[in-house]
Amino acid sequence: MNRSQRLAMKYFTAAIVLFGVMVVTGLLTATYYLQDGLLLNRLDFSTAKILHINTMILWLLMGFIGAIYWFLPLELEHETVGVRLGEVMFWILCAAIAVVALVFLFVQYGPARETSLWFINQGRKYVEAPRWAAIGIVLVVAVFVYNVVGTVIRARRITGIVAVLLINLVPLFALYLIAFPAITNMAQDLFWWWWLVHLWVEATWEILIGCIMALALMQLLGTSRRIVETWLYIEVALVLGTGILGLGHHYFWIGTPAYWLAIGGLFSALEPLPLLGMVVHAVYDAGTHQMKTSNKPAFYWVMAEAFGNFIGAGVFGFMMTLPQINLFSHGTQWTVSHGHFAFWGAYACGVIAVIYIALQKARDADVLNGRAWKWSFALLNLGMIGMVGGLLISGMAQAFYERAMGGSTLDAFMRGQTNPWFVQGVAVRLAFGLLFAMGYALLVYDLLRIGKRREYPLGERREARATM
Amino acid sequence: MTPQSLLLSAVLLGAFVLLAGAYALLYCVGLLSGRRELTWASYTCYGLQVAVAFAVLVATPLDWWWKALVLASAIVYQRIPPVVWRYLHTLHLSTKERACSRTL
Amino acid sequence: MYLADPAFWRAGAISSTAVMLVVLGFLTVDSLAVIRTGGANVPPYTVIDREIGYAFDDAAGMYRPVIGGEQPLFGRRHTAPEAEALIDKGKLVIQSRACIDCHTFFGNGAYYAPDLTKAWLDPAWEKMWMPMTQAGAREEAMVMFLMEPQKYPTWSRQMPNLRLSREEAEAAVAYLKWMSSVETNGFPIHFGHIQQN
Repeated sequence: MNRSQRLAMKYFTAAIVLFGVMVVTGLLTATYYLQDGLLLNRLDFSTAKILHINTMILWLLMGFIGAIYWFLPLELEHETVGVRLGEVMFWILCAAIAVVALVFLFVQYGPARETSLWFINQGRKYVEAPRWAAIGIVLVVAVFVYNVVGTVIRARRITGIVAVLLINLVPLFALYLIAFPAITNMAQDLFWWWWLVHLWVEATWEILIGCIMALALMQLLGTSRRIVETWLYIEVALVLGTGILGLGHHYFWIGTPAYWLAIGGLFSALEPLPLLGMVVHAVYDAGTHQMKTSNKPAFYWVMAEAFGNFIGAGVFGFMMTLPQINLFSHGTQWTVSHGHFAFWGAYACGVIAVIYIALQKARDADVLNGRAWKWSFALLNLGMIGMVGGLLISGMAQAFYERAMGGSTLDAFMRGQTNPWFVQGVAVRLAFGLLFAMGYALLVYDLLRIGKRREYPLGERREARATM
Repeated sequence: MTPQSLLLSAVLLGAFVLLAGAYALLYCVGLLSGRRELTWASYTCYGLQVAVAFAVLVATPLDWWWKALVLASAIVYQRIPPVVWRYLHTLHLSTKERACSRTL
Repeated sequence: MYLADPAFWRAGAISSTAVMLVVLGFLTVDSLAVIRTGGANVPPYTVIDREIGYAFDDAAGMYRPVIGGEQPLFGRRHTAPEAEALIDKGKLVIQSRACIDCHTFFGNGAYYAPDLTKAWLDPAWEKMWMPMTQAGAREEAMVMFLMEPQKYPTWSRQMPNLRLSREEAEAAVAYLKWMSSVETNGFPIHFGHIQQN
């Protein structure tokens, strides 16, 4: 491994640790729904939720950054420029995350002054981290961009994939600046906030994971560069072609003009189409290789990515996106159901796949296979399906009882929350969340052990390879 | 939109896209394995998808333009698996040809 | 075949993205004009001294906010700068206490606590909290609740005490009143009216 790849491994490790924090805080947030008064005034729902969603964003981002540090020197045939500085920034990032988390846990909030936003909590969803930390993230990402650009320049080489990646990093970086302002007018606040959130997770992150998957497929299946590049361009065209104006599906109810109902609804309804294309591509790739690969877990996680993305983002999204439905489903557990499944399918599966790809090389293993990864794969995916299924029931109950029947008042909210269907749904969510957590524990176990050289004769290893 | 029609409409819309996925999966696996029954299963899924689109048309209170969109996209969803499959196949072939011609 | 040429699709990616971004640009400029304070959909902050309602508009075919006559908030009239300062403070309260991580605003946020878009209009203030707090006005009941939620619970899921000062609580209430006047294309549908099935 070169230095950049060792840095990638650090990022992957941190990512998996944060994934674990996300799971624990997720279980905690789920429990509040079933246990009234849990930790009231000591660790309220909001704090647990903040930790849960922020660690989600961070672990995925760290996975992406790690993936780029891993693939870049291979792609450009040059060690990453400024990697030492990248290492420093990694440790600074970890320290900042720890401090922010401790402040969230033990200070929680401050008075209604700018200093609270600077040092404690900014109170905007996903970007609650205080401004000092947001500046830190900007610096870390700036160094990361420098690493990538510097390597391109020094190597005097650029590929189609790296070009797309580089161009994509510009809006990805610029959009994060929306994390800073405190805008009084909630309509304006949410308008810009959605530029950040949607154009991250339904545009620039899609391109980023597309680049990473392109690089991964070349390694995993030996797919030719020309094919992955062509496919990447097609993806960019279709994903951004539908996703940019698909932003409008967040502009139905926040004070924006009514034309967004038509525009947002239309483009949002088109978003599943490219995802179906990706499913076809995934099956094609699986088929042409007859499911044979020297890295079984990575291969299966790549497949999970294509299917999870289609079902979580495509199916679940389409179910609730048309304005006449969304009027009732907006801001309920239905949204939570879709959100969890979409993030899982679109990003989490891909990051896990890349980690397995890196591990194979890092441990110099001819073949990666075993039992633990299969159990982990099954438990994580089943856990996720169960969770989103439970949340879908709860969400539908909420839309039905609280919104459609109840008129969305406090009384209606209470009736929705205490409705037996709702309660069953969130109980099922917690139960499957525990399954998911078991899957996570097994994932960690497997990542720590898989592919490590064991002391056994050459013949046995050859035999192990032959049965793959 | 009554509460019941809300849930019915949402379930139909979700089923619409899910069946598109089932159709695509079975179609592709049918091509790979050469098993005719899988290809027929895929067409059945697509038939069900069309039936769901029809149900959206007659049984939901969605505005007419959304219904039109669902019907139009039913046609597009049918084309995606064969078109994309054929395209990928051609792409792989042409890439192989280029690689071969370079080595000659 | 040109469809197998990456350059063809590269051009497609660039043009499709560019066209969509340009359209987004135009729509953004238009939307910003509509959502600015005092724009078509967002009343100026001085609306806090007016009566605010929510009723079905036959012409529009949806529920819309209705701005009525004078209704000074906290019994006092606010000048435009005073109203702005109060609403600015209200937003700082909402952010500093991370309200959006339990509640939703225009349906955005977290789903553990009720949506606050029309909280100002919630019948519970008159039905439950005014009797509980013995407050003479809705906004006073809201302030008392926000300052000491543990004293006035209405069901088993309780709001935590976020140690709001009187000034902060008043600012938050003013914010909620202003927010209920924003045109949201009919969200939430038929607020306060129960549909008989």
